[in-house]
Amino acid sequence: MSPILSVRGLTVRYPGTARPAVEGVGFDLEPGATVAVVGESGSGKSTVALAVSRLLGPAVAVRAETMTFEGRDLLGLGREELRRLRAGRIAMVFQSPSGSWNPTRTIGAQLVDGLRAAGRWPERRDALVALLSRVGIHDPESRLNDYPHRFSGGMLQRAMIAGALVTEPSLLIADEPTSALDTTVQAEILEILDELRAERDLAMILISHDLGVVARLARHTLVLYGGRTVERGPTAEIYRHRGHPYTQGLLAAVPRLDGPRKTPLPAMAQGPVAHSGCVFAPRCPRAEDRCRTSEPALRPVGGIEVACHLAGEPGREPAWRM
Amino acid sequence: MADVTPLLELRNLRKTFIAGARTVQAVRDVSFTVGPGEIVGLVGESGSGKSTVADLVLGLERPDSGEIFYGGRPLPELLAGSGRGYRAAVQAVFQDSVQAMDGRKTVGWSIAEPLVIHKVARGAALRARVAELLRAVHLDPALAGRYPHQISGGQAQRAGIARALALKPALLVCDEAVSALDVSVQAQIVNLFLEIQERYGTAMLFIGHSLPVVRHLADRMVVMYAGAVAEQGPAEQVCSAPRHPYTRLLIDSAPSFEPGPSPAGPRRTRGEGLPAAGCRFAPRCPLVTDTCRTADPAPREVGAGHSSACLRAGELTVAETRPSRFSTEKRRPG
Amino acid sequence: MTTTEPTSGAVGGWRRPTPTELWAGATVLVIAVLLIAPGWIAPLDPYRLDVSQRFRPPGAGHLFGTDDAGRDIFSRVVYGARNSIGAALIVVTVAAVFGVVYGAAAAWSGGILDRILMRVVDLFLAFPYLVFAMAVAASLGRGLTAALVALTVLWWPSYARMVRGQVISLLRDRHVRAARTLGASGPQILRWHVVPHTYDAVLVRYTLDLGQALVALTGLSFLGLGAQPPTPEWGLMIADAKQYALTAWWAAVLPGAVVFLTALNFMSLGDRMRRAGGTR
Repeated sequence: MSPILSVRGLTVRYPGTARPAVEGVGFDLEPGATVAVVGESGSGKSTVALAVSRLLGPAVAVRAETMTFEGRDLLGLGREELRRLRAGRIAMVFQSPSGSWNPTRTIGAQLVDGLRAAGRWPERRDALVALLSRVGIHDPESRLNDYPHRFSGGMLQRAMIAGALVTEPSLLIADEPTSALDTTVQAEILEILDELRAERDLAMILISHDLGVVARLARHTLVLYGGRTVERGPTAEIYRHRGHPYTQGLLAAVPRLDGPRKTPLPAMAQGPVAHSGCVFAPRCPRAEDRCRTSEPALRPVGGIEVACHLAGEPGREPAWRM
Repeated sequence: MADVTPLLELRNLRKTFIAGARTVQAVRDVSFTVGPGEIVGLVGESGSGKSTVADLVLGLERPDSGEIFYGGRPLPELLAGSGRGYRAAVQAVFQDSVQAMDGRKTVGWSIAEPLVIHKVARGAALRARVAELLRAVHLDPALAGRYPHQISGGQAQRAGIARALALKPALLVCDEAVSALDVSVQAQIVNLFLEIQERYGTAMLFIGHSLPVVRHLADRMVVMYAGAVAEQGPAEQVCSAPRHPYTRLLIDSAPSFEPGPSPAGPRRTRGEGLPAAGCRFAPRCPLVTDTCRTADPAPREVGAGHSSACLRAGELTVAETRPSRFSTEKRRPG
Repeated sequence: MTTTEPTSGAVGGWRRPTPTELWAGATVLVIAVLLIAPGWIAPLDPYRLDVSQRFRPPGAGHLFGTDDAGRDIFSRVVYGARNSIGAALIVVTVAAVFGVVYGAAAAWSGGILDRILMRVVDLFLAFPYLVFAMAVAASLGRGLTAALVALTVLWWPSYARMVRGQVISLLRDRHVRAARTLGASGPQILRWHVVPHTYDAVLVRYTLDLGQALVALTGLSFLGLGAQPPTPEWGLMIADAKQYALTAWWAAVLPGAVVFLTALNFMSLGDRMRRAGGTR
């Protein structure tokens, strides 16, 4: 199947900063597939989302070898074409449930605005109500008249998802869609997103700081650190191989329900992003001289791609024990 | 534990808030204890009342009924007058330490503040103690001169802990103290709490919504749902052999490293209203019976130091709870 | 109770001042010179009568010309700053300090006391200031003091109301909750964590009010309810000059322009500070 979204060599630089926030990031996304972009704050993962949806202002330099969506060059589109694209074909869901809603207008009015912008009102009215019910909003017809403060964070996020999907987009960009929510609600919303993706052949970019959250949903994962892709490949393989010390550190740092208790967690030290050599070298317990001088390229190592000089070398123990 | 006087005892606490025309029963009959040097984890989702419990313990709110004892003495008596003795013994670590510090004051000022309020030190001794506290939480003493917004989230959280440790408290109330942090920073702060318990013997009431994180730190665990205690017991036992369906749901919802659908499955929480009678969890419960909708279950002993407020707790055995995690058929992720 | 503040390890480091800060600094400097040493600027004695120099138009010897008694208008304007800007400073400063304390106290006490205190504020805000100024002048005797008292008494309530609102919201702030768990007393919380956070807004209002108070004070003097002759005061100078405004326009127009420009300076500076989110 040909990819719906193809990104190669994406580089983003904010004005007045010494180095790009994102450099050389690339991935392909097929209809109905999910790619996860994982990293901690400052890794550039949200910048990737904003760059793909072209929501970064004109002052931000966005460059890419390729960035095509449904065969069209995203970097070559005009303002009106972009607006139409975002109103219909590309949908976004952000982290903050309350920050995404205007507190002075009803939920229904705001959802209708979205449909109007896409030129799909009132045609998709019934679809909207059905979708609200589908994402878990009980009695949607009456709840549409409520103001946002009457909704819990989880309910706002459900309504946001319904609003995003009602225009039948082919791509959904979800930036930490459940990070502000309780674990039970988080699990439920992610499950609903996954069902909707499967039914509608929706392509999804799922951005998260938590590898545990994306494990169940994304077939492919990109791990970002300091704006660089440090590991890329099928999610299951990444969990199995943990090729990059940063991925190993991320996974080892999270307590697990079946893990040991009351013992120190293997926590990565903090450190700056390196300006030369491997971006992760200052925090890496295995860094050698070559890591500080030459930057490792992404290369295939047993089913995944890893940007680490030491990956795949025999006799190497994982940097952090689980 | 029974023969030791608990450091903190909460007995039948109730607190109702009135918001406009609605009344919210934030805390309904909550009882549990924290022993000296013990970490008690308090888990629940937002609206479960766990943060109200923290506010009650910190004396920021007064209960409508019920009592809090610290070292065997009731809280109103301890807070009478300046209340400084209790304030010094029970300190708080908040979710967002940047916000908990005054943005117009330096980090060093904020850490020195409790020492000044309680007249513990001044002048050069004060500065030395601030530096010592910063080192105790593995921060560079030079950070004392920075403002809260000039340091990273992890550094702010450590500074918040240093501030809470300044008066050598016997109990730390940690309200979502690691929830907003990146995973590597979260791990460091979890380790710091473990180190504090070991080094100073500080007891903690550790409030969180992440079951794995709380399980990692806690000796005992209290699970709250809709203002009441659903289950409490030894942390490992609660997590490996939960005796309340809500605890089981929490376990199934925890982020997993198993690719494939969540074992919890989509459990639609249609409608947010809580039932007025019966078990508050009944609408979400897979094991619900007709009795559950009418009778409000009281906590019952289900094991040594382990209690559950579920009418069917006796039927929830180890054999029944564990396999649910793995029995679901695997679907290929997208 | 003695409350020594925790020592703040102050961060050193100098940064380039913003244009707003430069503007505010220049204003403060000019006013300081006008109030402390008007003699450095004024070429002549503002009280010196010289009938031979009556009604001289603005020119080389007399920058703003002379009045009917041959006094140098520019020198009178410079010395008059003490009575005009100086008086405005006193009115607004006293009002601001009292209003901040009053508003913070009302917010802190809450409940019935807060309601009573704020009723008093409403009462003052509803009072027509000219009527009040005339009443004060009648009881204290006409003069700058009466004008000062009248304006100050009517000026503080706006500060009280503004600060009360801010303090109520600040008291709910997380850093105040945190300070309570440390055992900080009410006065400590107010002094350390609440009142300083109102300073930015108070400073903006203070600057805007200086302009308004100046206009109000010169207005009262113009109406004869403020400074009395021969005091050099801007409003009074304009009032005196109106008798011969047709022969010597400068005697009324130039002091009037000074009032206008001074008030405009304060108000646009205040407006700019508000848009900059207060000066740090």
